Amino acid sequence: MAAGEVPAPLVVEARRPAMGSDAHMVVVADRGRSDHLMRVGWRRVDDLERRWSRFLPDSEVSAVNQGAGRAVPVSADTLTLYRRAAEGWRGTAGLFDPTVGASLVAHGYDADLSEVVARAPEGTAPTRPPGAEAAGPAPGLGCMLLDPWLPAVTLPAGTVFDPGGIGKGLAADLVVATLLAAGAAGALVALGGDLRAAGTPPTGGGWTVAVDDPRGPAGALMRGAVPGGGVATSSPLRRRWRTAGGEAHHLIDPATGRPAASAVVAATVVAGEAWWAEVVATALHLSGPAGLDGYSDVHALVVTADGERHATPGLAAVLS
Amino acid sequence: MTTDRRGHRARRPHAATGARLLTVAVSVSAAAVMASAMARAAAPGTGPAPVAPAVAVQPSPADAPATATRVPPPPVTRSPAPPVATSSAS
Repeated sequence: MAAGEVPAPLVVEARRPAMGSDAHMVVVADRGRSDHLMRVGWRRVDDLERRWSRFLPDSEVSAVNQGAGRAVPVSADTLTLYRRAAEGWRGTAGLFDPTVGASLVAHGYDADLSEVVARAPEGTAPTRPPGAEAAGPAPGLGCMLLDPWLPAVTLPAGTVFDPGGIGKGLAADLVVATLLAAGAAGALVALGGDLRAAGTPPTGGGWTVAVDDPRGPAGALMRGAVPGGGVATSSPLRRRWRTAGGEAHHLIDPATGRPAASAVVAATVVAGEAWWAEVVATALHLSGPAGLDGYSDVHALVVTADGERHATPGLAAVLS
Repeated sequence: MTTDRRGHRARRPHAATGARLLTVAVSVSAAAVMASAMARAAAPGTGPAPVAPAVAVQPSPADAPATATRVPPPPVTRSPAPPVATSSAS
């Protein structure tokens, strides 16, 4: 390198399990800072998981779920989680509803998914989860109280908040913001199906992102480059487990409290932020292609069981 | 007991005045508490932990217009570069 020449930023990446899914982190930074930044990013992921997991009895989300009408003090990050959840609930007219937690538990999803799946391996007769028949409509967030001063969250007794997808999307948003504030030139964080990228991409053409086709082991639904933003994909073909009543999946219809019977096999959304992409992807799973016109602030692709693809104009050019 | 010339129990002006003073004092105290609460609400983060009213989420999602200002979606373009990352369905 010639004297005075500025060294090119280093691109480092790492993968590991986090939040019950595969996590992937990419950091673009000056040489010498990348290792530190990766540690900062993973620490942030771990911290948010400790606060938001409904499977950890001492998490803040578990404390709120057990609050039974009592105001439970939470961190600023957790207050943001509930605020975003309320925005998502209102912005989708209740199609996105994180209060389906009791239904998930009633259908057997009461622990990390690997543990739930291991209870009924192929070739065995699964037991019927207690309470599956009793699962009813989700109560919604109408009675949630947010106290921004303490801060604290109050949920009525019996309401079980499931951070699920929005937690991963918002975590990706927050971790990327932390990495940029700590000095990264660019960062991408993917947690399960939720991905957020911001800042300087590794190459000049933007952050190139592929979307897996959940119908098969290989292939992509689409591939495109974005200057930054959030991408989320929701599908009932993933996160499934066996019960005596048949296979169940994690996308609960809040109107019935049961795994949604939808013709949608995949819904992918590109938005400015990952949490909103996740919210709209979940809503599109329930509304189907008819819901595509309802959101002017996203690009979206909905794939139905008959193989038809329905996309907004912003994605039509990049479909595989 | 104080009585007048006809033997009636005399009015006790001290008691009436005391009651009025008590009323005024309670009113002033209530006003002071309210002013203090309003001052804390106007300047969050200062002073002791306030007892502020919680914010209730609107009761029905159908009642609320989706008017929140959100970050606009980025343009998505074709790219010959290999993917940096993959969004796997969850």
